[in-house]
Formats: sequence, structure tokens, C-alpha cells
Amino acid sequence: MPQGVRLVMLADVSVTGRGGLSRRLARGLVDQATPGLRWAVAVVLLGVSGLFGGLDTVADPQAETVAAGTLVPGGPWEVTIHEAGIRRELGKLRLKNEGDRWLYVIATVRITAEESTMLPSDLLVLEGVTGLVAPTPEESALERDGSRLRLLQPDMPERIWFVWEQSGGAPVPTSLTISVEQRTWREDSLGGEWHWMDADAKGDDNPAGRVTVPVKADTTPPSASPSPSAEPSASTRPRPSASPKPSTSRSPSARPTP
Amino acid sequence: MKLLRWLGSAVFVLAALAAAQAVQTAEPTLNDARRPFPVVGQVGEDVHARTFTARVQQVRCAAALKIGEHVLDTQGVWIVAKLRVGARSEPTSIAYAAARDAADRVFQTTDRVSLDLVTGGLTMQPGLPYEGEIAIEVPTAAAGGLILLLADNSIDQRLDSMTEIPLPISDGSACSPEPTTLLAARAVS
Amino acid sequence: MRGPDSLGRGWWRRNVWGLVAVVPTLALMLAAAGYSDLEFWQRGKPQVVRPAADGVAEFAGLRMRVAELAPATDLKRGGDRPFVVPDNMTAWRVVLDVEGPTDLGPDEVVYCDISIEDTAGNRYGDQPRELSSARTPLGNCNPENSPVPAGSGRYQTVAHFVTPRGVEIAAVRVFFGGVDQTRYVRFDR
Repeated sequence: MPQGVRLVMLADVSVTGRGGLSRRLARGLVDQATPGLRWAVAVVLLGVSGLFGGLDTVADPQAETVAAGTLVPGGPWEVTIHEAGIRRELGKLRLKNEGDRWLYVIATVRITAEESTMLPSDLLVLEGVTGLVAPTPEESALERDGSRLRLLQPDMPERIWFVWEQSGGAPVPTSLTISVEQRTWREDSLGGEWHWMDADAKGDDNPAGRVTVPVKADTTPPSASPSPSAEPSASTRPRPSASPKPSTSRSPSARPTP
Repeated sequence: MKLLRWLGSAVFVLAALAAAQAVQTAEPTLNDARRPFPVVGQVGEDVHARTFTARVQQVRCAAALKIGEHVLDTQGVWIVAKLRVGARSEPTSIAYAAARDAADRVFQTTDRVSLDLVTGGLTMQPGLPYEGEIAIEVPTAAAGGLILLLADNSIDQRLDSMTEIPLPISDGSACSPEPTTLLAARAVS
Repeated sequence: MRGPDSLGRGWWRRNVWGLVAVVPTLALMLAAAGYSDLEFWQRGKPQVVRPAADGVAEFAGLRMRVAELAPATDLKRGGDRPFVVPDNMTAWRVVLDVEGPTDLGPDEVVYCDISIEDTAGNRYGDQPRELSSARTPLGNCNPENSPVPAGSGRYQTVAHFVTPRGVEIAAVRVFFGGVDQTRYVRFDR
């Protein structure tokens, strides 16, 4: 009976102020606490929690691996990985170390967020590949005109080349597993504002999806000029500037890309 | 009778909880509470934000931009606006320029071209205005009903003034198919 | 409780001191909540430090006075060619005589930010882009940028500005942001 007594005391100091009605109610509840009523209470409480999202399905923590060409929604973006390959030379890009090779992934990214978004450098993470000079791409460029990827506009999907450098000594991969970064629209615990953020504060959350894609071998003969349709026409050249240029200049812009 | 009373109390508790949840969902988020203060104006008139004044002189749209020998195409259309901007009483630069469409999506000025006028690098002295053209890439369907947003901070526009100037483009199908050039930023003499 | 208590006092009499305390407590609560924001806002409006009657101001460990404030008509570009100031603007030169340590390591220099203010209260910053092709020294109170040789604790710092033509300069402002963000030195003309 100590349980019942405690319940009655809590009811006594409840908001109703007067102990009379609530005390009688609570005592009545306890007195009638037959198993049937307890089940009813449990069901009602579950229903209440359901009102606040308690019964929503938890997202599957282990994202399954999908094939290339599958749309992977990641929150503010949707990524469709098309192909991957190896190249000894790629446009005007320069390898850091002689003998290394370029690993490229072509993906279409569509911004589903409500404003222009700059993609994080770890949007795509290559798994199971050794010898990468850096885990994030050395370059990422729009296939459209070879300009370096910066802001993407909402609902305007673009084909993008993501390019990593792999050490020449590491084995050439025959297929890649690429994990796509996920962001959630949630309240920032520090500032109280809503942003697209990693699901937990530590930043190590589950990817939006994993895509396997076979790696195309390098079929271009050495030092042949790359075909314009197959890759960015002038990889990451400096942005053209709307400022007036001297008439003798031949290059699009003398300004270095910041 | 006791059961009825108990049920009645339970219903009150549930109603109170539901009402609290409804209030919490309906009230504006902090994002909304900290949004910029709009300064609305029309094309052709001076719009006075807190630190700068801007006037949209002309708006047009095109299927491509021609920058030097390069042609920049797009899957949507290019909105080109000719602006005249000036600092009010302190040295200032415009560091944010975007267009908001009817669905509340915000498209920032392109960074495929250097647009010095609105990327924060062009500090203006009071009384010495500049003019130039900016370009924004938008989906063709969104070209009508755009509002030009300008601010003097590139990263954080919260709680400061931001111009809202409706751009008089009826729809994307009226855009010129010919590539258009952009006027580079220059001092107004 | 309802109704009179055991001493026969009504609700109002029982709670009179609580009610009286509401107003000052409310005021204190609002002040505590807004204090940090008020301080932040005040930092945007620095207080003025004026020079003494002899025109010399002491601040940040330096003694300084305005040696010259006049239109600059002899600016040069590279190769000693004259720099032509456009018709719609006036170029200004401010020269400060400074007494302070001259043999300083690079991270010991107390940097200053010089600006000029016109009679309407508009402020103009130094190193304006309108003078970017003119050869002008850096006016940042670093003895290394002194146009006259810095020696035995005395040097000069020179800053250039542009304003619209016809503007009258009312004051020179010197701000030492690295030392004190809440005050600046103001030399009225």
C-alpha cells in the first residue's frame, strides 16, 4: 500500500489546489486497479505517446547497399551515382605524385533543400579503397563546363565529377562502395535554430546509402587529348570574371581561383 | 460513476497535452524569429537598407551567358539584373544576393562567374555608388515571381535589413535564347 | 485559501508586499535579461576620446596629433606618373604625428584604423579601391610605414581617402580595435 499512499499524496498537491476531488479520483483509481483497468491505462498512455511521435518507425541503422543508378536521398540532397573509373590523365589536373592515378566518380546531385547549398567535401566517401592521397576528393567539377563545384541551386540537378588521387602502388580497385552523407533537418541544441545537420552531435552518423559501382579501366591511350563529351572540358580552370580584361589577354581570366 | 469521472479527467489531461503540442508546433521557430527585416521596393526606385541603398535598373533573362569566349549554359534560365548600389553612411559592400521564388526557395547568385559587385569584395564609400550586372541561375518554371534579396553580410543575414525587390519577369518561356553578356562592376561617374 | 484567514485579513492585505515587489522585480528581471545585449549594442557605438587643448591625444600608449588634413592633389601611380582623381570625387590626405615606441617586433605594433567623417556624419575608410592604382602608404600606425624616417620615438602615419566632391570634412577618427573596441580618438577640425 505504500505505492497507493504516495499516489494519493501527489494528487493532493496537484494543480487543482483543493485536495478533495483529485484525492478521491486517485483513490478511486487505485481501488479499482483491476488488471483490466491497468491494461486500459497502458493503452491510453501509448496512444498519448503516439501523438508525439513515439510510435514512428525508427530509421533502419544499417543502410543496405544499392547498385549504381539508384537515387539515394540524403536530406538536403539526392545523389545518383552513375559510374566510376580510373584515369592516368584527366584534363588539366596535376597529380601530386608521379605514378599515381585518378579515381573518378560521376554522380548527379539534386538539391532538395530550400536554398543554394554548398556540398560538404565528404559527401561521397569511398570505402574499401587503399592508397588514397586524401579521403576527400582532390577536385569536384561540373561536367557541364568543368568549373569547380561550389554552390548548387535548389531543384537543378547537375552531373558532377568527383576525383580522388590514388597512390600508384595501391591495387587498382575493380569496384567501389561509396557511402553518401546524410543530413537531418533538426534543431541545433546550442543555438535553437533549425539547420541541416548531422543526426547526432558527434558527427558520426549513418550514411544515407551505400552504392556499389564497377570501376572502368583506363581505356584512353596515353597522352591522347580527352574527348570533350566524356569529361569536364577544362577541369577546374579559373572562373571567368565579368570584369573587363585587357584586349591582348587570351586566357579566360588571369585571376586565380580562390 | 467513478469510471466516468476518471475518464473525464483523462480526457482533460489529453486535451491539455494536445493543446500544448499544437501551440508548440504552431509557434514560429527561432529561424523565423531571427529572420532579416525586409525592405521592399520596386524596380527603378532606390531601396534603402540599413547600410546600403540599391536600385534595380533593368532585369532580363537569357538561356546562356557569354563571358569572354566562354558560353555558360544552364538547364534553367539566367536572370540578369542591372543594379546601382551605394553605401549610406559607412564604407559598405554588398555580400549576399539571391532570388526567392514563389515557393520560398532561395537561389543565390551564381559562382560560376566572379560577380565582384555582390560578393563582398567591393567596398563602397558613401556618396560614390557603383553599378553592374548580376546573374542568377533558376529553373525555368521559377522565373516568374522572383524577389531579389540583397544584404551586406555573406554568412549571416539574421536580424539585419534585406532588400526585397520583385523582378518583373512574367515567365521563363519569354527568355532570350541568345547568350547575353554581363556588365562588370564600375563606378558611377 | 479563500476568504479571510484566521486573523481576519482579506486576500489583498495578505499579499500586499508581494504585489509591491512585482514591479521592481520585473524591472530587474528585464535588465538582467537584456544586459548582455545592451552591452553588445553599445560596443557598436564607441565612446569618443578627445585631444587636449594643445591638440595632442593620448591613447593606447601613444601620443598623437593631426599634422595635416587636406585634399591630396599630388598623388602618383607606378612609374611616377600622376594619378588623376575622377571629377566627381576629392582625394584627402591625413598625416598624424605620433610619439611612441619605434623599435617594435611585428606582434608588438599597436595598429590603428584611421577614417574621416564629413559634416553630415558619413564616415570614409582609408585605402579605398578608388585609389588602388595610386601609390599611397599604409596608414595603420606601424612605424615601418612612416614616410619620414622613424626615430627616437617619433614617426608619422599617413592615410588617404576619397569623398564625393564638395564634401566638408568635420573630423578625423582613429580607432585602435586591437586595444579597445569601446572607444576611439576623435580630432574635430
